[in-house]
Amino acid sequence: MGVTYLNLLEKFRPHKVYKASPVVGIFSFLVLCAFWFAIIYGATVTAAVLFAKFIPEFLLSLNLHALAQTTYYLAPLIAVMVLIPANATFLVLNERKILALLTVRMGPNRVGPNGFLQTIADAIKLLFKEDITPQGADKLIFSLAPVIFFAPTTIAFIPLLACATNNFGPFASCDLAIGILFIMAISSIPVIGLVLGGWASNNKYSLMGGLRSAAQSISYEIPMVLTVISLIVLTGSINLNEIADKQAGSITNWNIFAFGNLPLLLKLFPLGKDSVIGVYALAVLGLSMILFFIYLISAFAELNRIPFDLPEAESELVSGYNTEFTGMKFALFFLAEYTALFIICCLASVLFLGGGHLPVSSEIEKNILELLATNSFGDLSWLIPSSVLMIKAYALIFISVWVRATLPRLRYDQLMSFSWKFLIPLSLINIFVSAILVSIKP
Amino acid sequence: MSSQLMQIGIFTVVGFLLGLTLLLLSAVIQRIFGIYSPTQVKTEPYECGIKVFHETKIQYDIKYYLYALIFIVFDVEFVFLVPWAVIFDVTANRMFLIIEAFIFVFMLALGLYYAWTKGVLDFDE
Repeated sequence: MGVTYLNLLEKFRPHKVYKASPVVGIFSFLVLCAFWFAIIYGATVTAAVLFAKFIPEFLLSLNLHALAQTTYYLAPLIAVMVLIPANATFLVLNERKILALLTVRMGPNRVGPNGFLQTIADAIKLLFKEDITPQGADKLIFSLAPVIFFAPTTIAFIPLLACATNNFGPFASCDLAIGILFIMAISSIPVIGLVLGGWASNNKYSLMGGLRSAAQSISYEIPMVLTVISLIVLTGSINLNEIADKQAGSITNWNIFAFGNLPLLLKLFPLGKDSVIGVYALAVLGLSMILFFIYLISAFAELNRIPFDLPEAESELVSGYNTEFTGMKFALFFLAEYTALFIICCLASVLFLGGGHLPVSSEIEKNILELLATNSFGDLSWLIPSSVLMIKAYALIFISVWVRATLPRLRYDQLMSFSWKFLIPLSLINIFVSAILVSIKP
Repeated sequence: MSSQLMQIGIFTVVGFLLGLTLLLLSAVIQRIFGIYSPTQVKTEPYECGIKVFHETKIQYDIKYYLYALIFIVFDVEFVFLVPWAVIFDVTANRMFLIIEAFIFVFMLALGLYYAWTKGVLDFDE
């Protein structure tokens, strides 16, 4: 008997046969998430506290006032520098694990316990990978494109930092009065990096991917910003802190649930004179849901997430704009993509899901914050909003991965006409509907 | 406000510098460990496994150019509508505000309608 294919298979079969059980899978996934959240959050908070408190105090004891001041104001930057890589590392692993769960697989499980360190191994691999510039590429632009794509995601964090920490210490200097406008403006810059990268790599697939992503991003940015205008009309503010504070109290105060009008819905029955108020609340509830879904759809489309991942469609464009990018340049694209996803989900949770406020009554929340503010370690009350905001953002990211696992890719003309012929007219109408609803509030 | 501007400045500078530093770091690592050794075949642009057969920088029918034109109109509209939306809550004469914004948006929507009927938004021709 010669060596048959089956014999070979038997010979190289792994010693341990893994069977994917949903219960075990979900449990180990939750443990993994908890560990990673602790790592990300712990590292970011430690860095922030070090630079906001301990290092300035130490420098002051040495009479270095100017240096202490500088370190103090650098704290937000350091926190972001720690957060971005840790967060992206987790999000990649998180996405692969959720996709595995949803398709009843194990997912990455070789590096570290239960695949815990998989993305760190990937990052090290990318760092040591040969960085090739293709022939005929525009070398300068080819190298600069990932940087142009990456830098704005760092900048867009500024207003969110103030919102996540309730203006704690140096983070108060991040509290921009025009928060939403700032994030919207900054988050439309990365597309320039994509177009430049696609054009500079001297590859047809990249060129097409870059152009497609430009067209897609600008198409879906319009419904997003028009939705935000409706939201500004309904909340009356463009400062993220103010918007979040208006939603404090309970889950019914969240903007997604009728902008705080949800309790009025009870007046619908019994039918009578007060029913008008109930009908009004119902209208606002419908509007707020529509706004949330338009925002979410446009956000996913702007970030080229499946089902809107036409710019990097593997089956037709190989990988779109980043076909020719390897090593660190590819890593920068990857890092920026996941950070942008995190930012957009954070913004969604501030605008619609109550921001950094606990879903409990204001009294209880105030007591908890006071308890944390007056202890021997100093003011720790900012730990609550930041962790709550991050958890809400991760919940939205879970939904985005869920959507990715569920829906197939759209056709290109469907994608464009969905934005231009449906979402944009709808969001234009929404502006006036929300303006009218604000002015006829009973 | 100056401290806010300072933060934006710090983040902008460091954001770009960080990207450049990472690229520089990887380039240095490549040179030190001798990973970087490009050859003729390696550096050819990817073409699904066959030889590159065409110039890439050709004239390309950018349909998206028309989308970009409409986009600019709407993006400017957004900037003009933000102040309107912010003061909407505190103004007494809201009917005036709604009509005002309606005229403004209507003219832009007319532009979108014109582009729509001219077939700018249709892909299949």
